[in-house]
Order: sequence, then structure tokens, then C-alpha cells
Amino acid sequence: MVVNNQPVDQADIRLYNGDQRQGKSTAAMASAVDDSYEQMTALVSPDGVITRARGLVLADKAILEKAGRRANVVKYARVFSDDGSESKLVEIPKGYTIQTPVKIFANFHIYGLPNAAFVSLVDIVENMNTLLFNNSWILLDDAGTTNSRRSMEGLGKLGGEFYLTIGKRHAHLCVMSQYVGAIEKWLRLAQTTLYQCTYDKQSKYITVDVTRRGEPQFSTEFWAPTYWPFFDTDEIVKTLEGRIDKAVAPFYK
Amino acid sequence: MAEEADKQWADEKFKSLQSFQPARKVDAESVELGGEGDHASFEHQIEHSPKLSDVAVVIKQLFADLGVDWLTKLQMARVLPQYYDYLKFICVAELIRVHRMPPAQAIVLAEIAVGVALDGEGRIEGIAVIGKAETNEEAKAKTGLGLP
Repeated sequence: MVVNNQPVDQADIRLYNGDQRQGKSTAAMASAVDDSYEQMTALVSPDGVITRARGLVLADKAILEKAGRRANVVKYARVFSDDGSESKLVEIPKGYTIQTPVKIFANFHIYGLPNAAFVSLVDIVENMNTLLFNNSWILLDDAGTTNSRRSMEGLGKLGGEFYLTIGKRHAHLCVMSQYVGAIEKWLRLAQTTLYQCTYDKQSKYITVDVTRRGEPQFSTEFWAPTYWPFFDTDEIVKTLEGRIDKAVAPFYK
Repeated sequence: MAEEADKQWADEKFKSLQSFQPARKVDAESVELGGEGDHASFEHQIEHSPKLSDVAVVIKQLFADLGVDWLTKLQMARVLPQYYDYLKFICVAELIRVHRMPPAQAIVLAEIAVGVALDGEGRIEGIAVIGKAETNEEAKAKTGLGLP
């Protein structure tokens, strides 16, 4: 999964669906984290020492498989000597961060990734006529931001227009919700891939059933704790202040 | 020129929004369970998951998931007409006794499964789909085009 300026065959608008605590946010986060690590340009030690590095490519993954290891872009990287003449496949030491060109916008807080920004639906709509969201990941947790019951509000309508431009922006939009019906209608129309998530508490694996344009594609699973350091699974996505004020105002007259 | 300026503005705006916070520490228990073990990353798993072919998609639509594994698979079997009633009775009894299903639900599901499998109708339909797909593939290979 590479974010770039090349034409894409379809807009990447993903819905992550599932009951509460079933790994919707983890699955969405995983895609963005993997892309960030795959495109890393350097490793940064806790002391701030920068080492040139890149994420795993196909050949590296083959080497790992041959050595009996599983290909995990978050765990392994290829580092280079200063002159670039030598390289080595290494396990990323604990406490190291990365440098990556991949931009991530989310309506929850992201940890351990350099190019992450916190945005609300207001920020998105405010900047929808700019190039701010081009070539980026946009993660919207909880349908609260894009609720179908708020479709006719100004934010809902403009948000709907924004979702239809995701393809032209070469961006990836990931929306997590318990119910598809709770999501803004235009988003439901524009969505291209549905990820149905189920979490197994014993194994800590999340199973994801992928449906593309209504046709079941495949099922896969991954180990959830790999991605837990990058976000807080208990963070509550806050409702916009203005909306709360508007709702309670009649009771204070 | 204007586009360059827009890009520059977007970069500066992003810088004003971005903030770096160190990675969180996940609790020791979960890390011990498999943190030191090897687990493939999500995108790698996606790339290497066997994708359903067109045939598999059609087969999945053709044979409903009845919620009980053996009952779903039964649809692909061949049931001789003289054994239809007996098999349906066995299925219903099993669904009620073992799967604790309400009788009405058990009867309906058993009827679907045994009915689809009657005289091998289900598998005949499946074979027809696969045959059609193969013909299509052959035609594609010969002409370089898919059938309309």
C-alpha cells in the first residue's frame, strides 16, 4: 500500500464495521501504520541519532520468511551505512521512531508516528478547498463525526462533498462505525471497501472479512497488540462543542 | 505556479497541525503473550490472503450459509429421493437436540439443505458455474477478449 501521485483504479474509501471492542480502530490504524513504516526514510534513536533506513520490500520479506520469521514492517527494517554502500536487515530496537513522508489525519490522538495530525470534521470542511488532505490517510473513528442523522446540517452536506473527492486527492479515507446505517449517506454511497472486524480475546487476533463493492473478497487476521502503541483504544472521540451547546441551550433559557 | 504555492501552503498548514507524541506503552501481559513472538503485519496479511475467485464468489452466493457447518456442506451432497424424508428427520433431530434450535427453525433449515442436495441439484448447479467460468477463460485465452 503506497500513497503516491499515480492514478488509482478506484477511490480508497473504507468502512470498518463491527461491534464495540471488535478492533475497528485497530484495523484502520494498522493500514496507516503499515504504510508509514513501509515508506520510512530513516530510523531515529531515543537520543535523536538518525540512521538511513527503508521499510521492507518484497525481497526483504522473502529473506525473513526464509529465516522462519513473519514479515512485519513495524518490527523489521533495512538500515544503510552512511555512504549507502552497505545495508542490513534489522529488528527495529525498542524506543526507536521513524521518519516517513506519509501524512495521517485522525479525529483521535496518534502516538509514535511523526506525521500525524489531530483533526475534527470542522477542520476537514474548513480546508476542503485546499491540498491539505492530498496523499494522506484520514482516519475517522466513530460515526459521531459523520452521522447520517446530521446529513442535512451544513457540516454533513459539505462533508458529503468532501468524501466524493477522495479519489482525486489520492487519499485514503477510513471510517469506523458500529453500524453502516449510522454513517452519512454520501459516505455509504462512495465507500469502496467494507472491513468487517471481529476480535478474539484469547489469541488477541482480529479477523477481518473484506468486501469490495458488495462482493466478498477474502478474510484475513492479524495480531492486534502490534498496533496498540500507536493509539489509545479507550480514547473517546469527542462530540463537537458547538453541537453540545446547541443541544443543551433550550434547558438554560 | 499557483499550484506550487498551494502545495507550500498545505505543507505549512500540516506542520502547524501535526504533533508528535511518543509511542504508548501497552500493558505487559499482552506483550508477553506474543509480543516477542513473530506476527505478520496487517498489510502483509492482506497481500497474502487467498482471494476468492469469481467462481468462489458465485458458489458462496449459491449455497447459503445455514449457520451450522455440516448443514451448509450438506447442500453440496447428493441425496437420493427415497432417503429425503429420513435424512431430513435426522437433520431436524440433530439440530434440535445438539444445537438447541427451535423446531420450526430446524425444520426450515433442514429442508433447505436436503432440498438443495436432492438428486445432487446443488452440485450440478455448482459444476455448471465452474464449467461456464472455464469456457469463459478458454474464450479469453483464444481471443484475448472476455465474453460479453
